Amino acid sequence: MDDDVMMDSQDDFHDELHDTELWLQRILREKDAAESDRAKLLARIAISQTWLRKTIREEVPPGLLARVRANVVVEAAETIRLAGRTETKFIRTNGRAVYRWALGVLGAAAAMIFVVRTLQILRYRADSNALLDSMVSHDDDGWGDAFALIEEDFDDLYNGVESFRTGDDLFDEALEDLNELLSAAEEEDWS
Amino acid sequence: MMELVAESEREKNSTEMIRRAQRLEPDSLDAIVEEYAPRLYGYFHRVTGSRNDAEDLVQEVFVRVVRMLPHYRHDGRFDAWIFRIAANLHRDRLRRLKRSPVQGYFEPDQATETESGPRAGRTAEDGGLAPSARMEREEETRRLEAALARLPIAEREAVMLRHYGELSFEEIAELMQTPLGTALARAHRGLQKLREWMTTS
Repeated sequence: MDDDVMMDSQDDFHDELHDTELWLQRILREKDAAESDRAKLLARIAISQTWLRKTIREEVPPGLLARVRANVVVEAAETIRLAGRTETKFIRTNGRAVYRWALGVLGAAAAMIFVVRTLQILRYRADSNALLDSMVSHDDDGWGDAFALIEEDFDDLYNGVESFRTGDDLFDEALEDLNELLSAAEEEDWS
Repeated sequence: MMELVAESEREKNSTEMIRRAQRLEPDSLDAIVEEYAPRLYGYFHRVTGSRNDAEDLVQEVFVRVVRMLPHYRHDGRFDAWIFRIAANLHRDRLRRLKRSPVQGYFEPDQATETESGPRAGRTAEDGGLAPSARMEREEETRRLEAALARLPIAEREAVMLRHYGELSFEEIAELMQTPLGTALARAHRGLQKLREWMTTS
């Protein structure tokens, strides 16, 4: 064995022993018997491992690295290809999902527009329909208040009755108008 | 202080390399192969006893590494992650062998046993050795492999995970699903037996 190799082994051995010793000291300070046993065991293992390192010689077959590299290149290319396909599939899948979402939103918007427009048409029709007109009025926001006009009619009716009951002014005026009409009329007009 | 700075710099470079490897950049993948393939090969060779199986398993580890790298979350223990994949593959192999008892768990290659193969026991270091020294080395390798073959699987695995994977015993215990004390005891017993058999044979 070369001197350099021997020196390296010795350095490794000393480093390992030193590390083990530090660990052992720490463990012993903690007074943990089980850990202490393990530390002693580890120290013995470290010594045997140093022996093993000197005994085992690396025997890598010629060309192994080149063969592994070639295989790794092929595998990496395949992995990249598969990843690309997965990515494309992901984009496609998400594209479809977005498309479906867009369709859904458009559909909902169309349905809402249809409902609003229908209500507007109904309101327009209601404006021109006497029966509905009597039942539906619109507030400032444009929304219908179905009983507002009925309520107003009731108010007018009540006020009219009240005015007849409390004062004869309107009745007198009406009579005077009638007399004038009657006196102004020619006799033959009655024949 | 200088050592700490150097260590921190190494860690930073390693993290950067792993990050680039996660994007499957060829240079970083090459660096990972260079760093881990020899260690993985050594681990598989020692636990299976077969060079062919070891090479197949190394290739399989890297296939898995490449596939899983983009999802890997680096927590500073890349070695442990790679060797966890390796140990799981080894376990799968053991399970398969249990189902088909034609082949044993540990069968040293003919080439290694007979030294007749072109790769038998050769390393780069052997180049400058005298024939007698080379023979001595080859003899030692054969004895080591014979000793490893006698070792119970669990002890062999614990010793090799520590040796090649440089895993902590906590990691080995977690990987082997045993208490820490058991993992330590297995490694210790395994190493003791190896030394004993190697020196007495």
